[in-house]
Amino acid sequence: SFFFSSRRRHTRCSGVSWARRCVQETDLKELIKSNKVVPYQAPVASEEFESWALILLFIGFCLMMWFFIYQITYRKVERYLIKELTIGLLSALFLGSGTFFFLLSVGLYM
Amino acid sequence: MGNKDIVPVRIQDNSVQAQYNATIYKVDLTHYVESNQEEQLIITETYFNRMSALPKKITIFEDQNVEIYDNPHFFSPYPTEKSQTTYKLASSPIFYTEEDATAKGGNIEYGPYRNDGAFTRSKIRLHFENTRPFPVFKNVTRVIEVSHWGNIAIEDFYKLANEGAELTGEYNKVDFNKYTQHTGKNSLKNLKAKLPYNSWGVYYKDEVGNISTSRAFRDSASNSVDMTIEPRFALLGGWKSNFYIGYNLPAKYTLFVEKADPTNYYLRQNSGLIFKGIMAEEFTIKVILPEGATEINYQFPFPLNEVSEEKSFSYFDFEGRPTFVFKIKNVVDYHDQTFTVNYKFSQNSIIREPLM
Repeated sequence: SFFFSSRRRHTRCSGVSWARRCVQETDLKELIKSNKVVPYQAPVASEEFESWALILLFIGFCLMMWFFIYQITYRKVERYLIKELTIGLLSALFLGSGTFFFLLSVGLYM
Repeated sequence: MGNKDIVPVRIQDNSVQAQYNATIYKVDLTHYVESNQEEQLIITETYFNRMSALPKKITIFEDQNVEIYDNPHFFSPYPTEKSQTTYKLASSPIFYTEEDATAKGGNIEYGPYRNDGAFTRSKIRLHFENTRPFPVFKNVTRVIEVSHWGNIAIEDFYKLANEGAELTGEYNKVDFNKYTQHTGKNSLKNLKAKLPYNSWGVYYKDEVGNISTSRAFRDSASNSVDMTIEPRFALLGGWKSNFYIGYNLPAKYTLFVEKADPTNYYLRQNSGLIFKGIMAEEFTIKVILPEGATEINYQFPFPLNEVSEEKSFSYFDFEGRPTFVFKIKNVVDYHDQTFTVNYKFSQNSIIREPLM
């Protein structure tokens, strides 16, 4: 149906009513070449998502188990609220971030 | 003019437009042409909707024929000493305007015309067989979601139509099935797409669910993922189909950060379709940046029809993610270039997500 012209980079910035601010395309290429701009690296590399997920979830589950055992073994008067709250909060923290990294490892990026 | 492409600039000339119904384009040559010197130019023009099916409606057994009107003279603001136009068709035409024409099988030559004045035109008509489908995307919407955990998720929505000769009469599986090659020749059975080389997690689905009739192959020779899709049903003339194609890109290939100012990010994406050689009447690109991105600038290598900003809501969002919507009309292969979006974002704010 069509035959097409090869593509061409637009380098002129004069009369730009259509660009918000003229960040020249060739400038980005030059910025990359001159190493002023580098590829983005995520804080955690994607290969490590599963490890982080496993470790965080494991620690989280350990804390959760400790919490349950603590609830079961001691009578109400012997339990300390501060300890309960601390362990609960810590386990929630670890389980939450562990689930987050688990979702990241399966491909659900948030 | 060497190997360099020059893009013409459109000039507004109302008198020419009124008198000759013509649009003027200006081309800056790369160097001076001295008097009595010659220079060679290769001009490429792309048209859409020039061929129309004639007859407009055909049955499933008939072949599709198209007609086209054209001007065999070289239409320019300058006089032309000698010009010749050759129409290359797949087979001998059913009809061609005989004036000044020489037919050699599928090649029809008009001319040579000598000493044409400026804006010379005449009308010729060609009517010939073309049994290929005419795929057109009535609407394409692309959503690009940027995640600073290292991934760009892209989902395209396509409204595909086969604008060849419309099917009239009966359609049944006895006359048209994969074993009968001679019926429904202008049906659209498959399409080829090229995705970026580093794409992963590719899917092809529609409202009903996943469509399994597709193949994808990561080809290092062509530096792309070559994908072939077959719609759920072959599209006969006048039929339509909608589908989604989605894929992911690791952020390190398209997202860049400035060394001196690590809050300054550049996102580089393709501005064309993954299907080459097919026109989209309307192409909408939505870029969703992470929540908290500010000072957003964008740069396209061609003019846009419409730009707007909105908010998208996704996981862990409070005030929404800044979303830019770019609309381009009549997208062809020329638009297959790259565009840049530049924004400022504080990396530390993504730690909020796992903590929540």
